[in-house]
Formats: sequence, C-alpha cells, structure tokens
Amino acid sequence: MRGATFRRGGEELVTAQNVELDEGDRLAHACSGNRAAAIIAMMAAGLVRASGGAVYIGAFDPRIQPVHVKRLAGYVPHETLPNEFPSFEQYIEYRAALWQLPQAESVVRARHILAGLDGIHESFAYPLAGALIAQPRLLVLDRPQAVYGPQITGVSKTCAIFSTHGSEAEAARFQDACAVRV
Amino acid sequence: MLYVAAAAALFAALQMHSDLGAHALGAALFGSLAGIYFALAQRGGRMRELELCEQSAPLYAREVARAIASVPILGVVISLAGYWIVTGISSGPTDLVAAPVFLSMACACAVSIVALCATVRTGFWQAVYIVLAAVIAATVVMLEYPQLPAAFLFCGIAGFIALRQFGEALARWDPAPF
Repeated sequence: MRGATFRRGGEELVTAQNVELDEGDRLAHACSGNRAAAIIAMMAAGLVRASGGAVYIGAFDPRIQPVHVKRLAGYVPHETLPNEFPSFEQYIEYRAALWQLPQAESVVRARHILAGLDGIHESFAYPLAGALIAQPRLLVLDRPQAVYGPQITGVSKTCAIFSTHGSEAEAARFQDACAVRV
Repeated sequence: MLYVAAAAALFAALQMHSDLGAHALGAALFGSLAGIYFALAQRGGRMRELELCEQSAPLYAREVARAIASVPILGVVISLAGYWIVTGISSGPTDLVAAPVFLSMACACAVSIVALCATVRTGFWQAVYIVLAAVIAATVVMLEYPQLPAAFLFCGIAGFIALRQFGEALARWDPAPF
C-alpha cells in the first residue's frame, strides 16, 4: 500500500497507509480504530478499492484485476460466522465451489488444517480453514485474537500473513504471540 | 421459499371461482411480490458473512450477479408452480393455457432481478429500484392481454438490463463497514 486512503461520503475513514509485505513475511498492522482495521484488511484482500493512493497485491491492482488479487489473497473477517451451514464439510464445499476447487480434496485439506487449529473457537477456525483451502499466498486477518497467533502461524506455513488491529497494543500482542512459533 | 410457495398455493385456492384472466393477474402480481421479497430477504445485511465470502471469492461480478439472481428466480418459479398446480386442480387442467403460466413466471423473474438492484443501494435509490420493480410488474400485467408477445419481450429486456445493472453495481460495491 502506498498512500492508500479510503473515503466515503466526503469523510476520510482511512488515512494514508504505507505498508509493504514480502512473500512469506508476517506483519501485524496497527490501525487508528476497529473500523479502519476492518477497511484496511478488506483493501489488502481486494474487497474494497482504495479511494486514493495505490494498492498492489503481487503484481496486481485490485481496481483493475480484482479477480487475480482474490486468487492470491485469503481473507478472514472479524465477525463470527453464523450457523448457516449444518456442518463444517458443507461450509467447505460451499467455499470450494466459490473458488472452483475440487470439493472432496478441499474437505480433506480443510480437515487437516482444522486439526492444526486445535483450541481455536470454530467461529474463527472455520473461516480460517476455509480461506486456507485455496492455498493463498497472502492471508489477510481482520483483528485476530493474539491467543490464536501460534496456531495461525502453524497452519499458514509459508503464506504471508497481514493482520490488522484496532490499536498498537493489540498489534504488539499478536506479533509476540506469532513469534512463539516463528 | 416453501412458506411463500404455500402462500401462493393458498392464494390460488382462494381464487378458486375466478376466471383465467383473474388467475393470470393474481399470479403475476403475487409472483412479483414474492420476487421482491426473495430479493430483499436474500441480500440486505442479514447474511453479511456469506456476502463477504462471495465477495472475497475470485469471481467476476457478472458471475456473482448471475448466481445471486438464480436464488429469487428459483423461489418465484417454485412459488408460481405451486400457484398454477392448485389452479389446475381447482379449475380443471383443460381450462389452463400455457401463456399466462409462463408469462407470470417471466414477469416475476424480471421483477426479482430489478429488486436485486435495490439491495446494493441505499436510501432514495433503493426505494427507486423497488418502485421500478413494481412498475415493471404493472406494465407486464397491462400488456398481457392485448399484446402477449410484447409482454414476454418486455420481461426479457427488463430482466436482461437489470441483470447487467446488478453485475455492474456489484463490481463497484464496497462492503466496507460503517
């Protein structure tokens, strides 16, 4: 992100952000608040386009090639997942269909990922496993809890991790927690 | 979806003694109302996580638009199938004509897609698209008897333009929280 901003209705919700993340790197990014953290995470995953400045994921600009960006990035929202799906397998099959992945293979991979997320509440573990089945090169986490840091770094392997946090303290806690296994 | 189909069947049963013209009018208007309900219920922030999941998938907006549109379309087709089956049973299948059956479905599908355009807008423009959906239903009903092919053509054109509009709106849509 180079000077990336986000405006809505004349109000600047995200001030200029300058962030650089190399392949396989990990960064806990402190934001000015929870709303800014949510928007910056969406900008990094290609869901929201920056109003000003530039955002490049790999070599792709989300404003021009959003589909290419979404193939590279896996996004895990902060909000808990509602029980729309009767089982984990059905949730993974739904995601596999969206990502055009083989369903049976994705379920097996997701179960393997879920086994590595032992101790994480399913409302965070399921979307995380769902995001990782597509084997993204960048994992974008919107305000993850610091206690989940070791498990997240364990399952993400060589994937770059970009997490946004509502404050400096939360970002530092997550960074420290991830460093346990790094 | 099943509740709406059951309501459609009940509505058809209440119209038991009406003629085919009244059935055609009732089916088109009830199907349109059901289509607007399906469209607004499907997307309106109630399933934000699922919407975010769809938005983060590597799909072009037009593909997402087609997939989203298929849900209310399926809903209205099932509902109107329930309506016409009950009508067929109550008034006798020999009295039924294919044209009003298919036209009511075409009308409800076009109205559903126009109503979907309202879900990616807020305030005044959301209201405009809902009113537009209702106007399309009224126009199809007015066109139905004098000019049946024109009514079908109108549904096709309205549905096609609305689907393109919905795809373009989805491509520009920011799911940023406020």
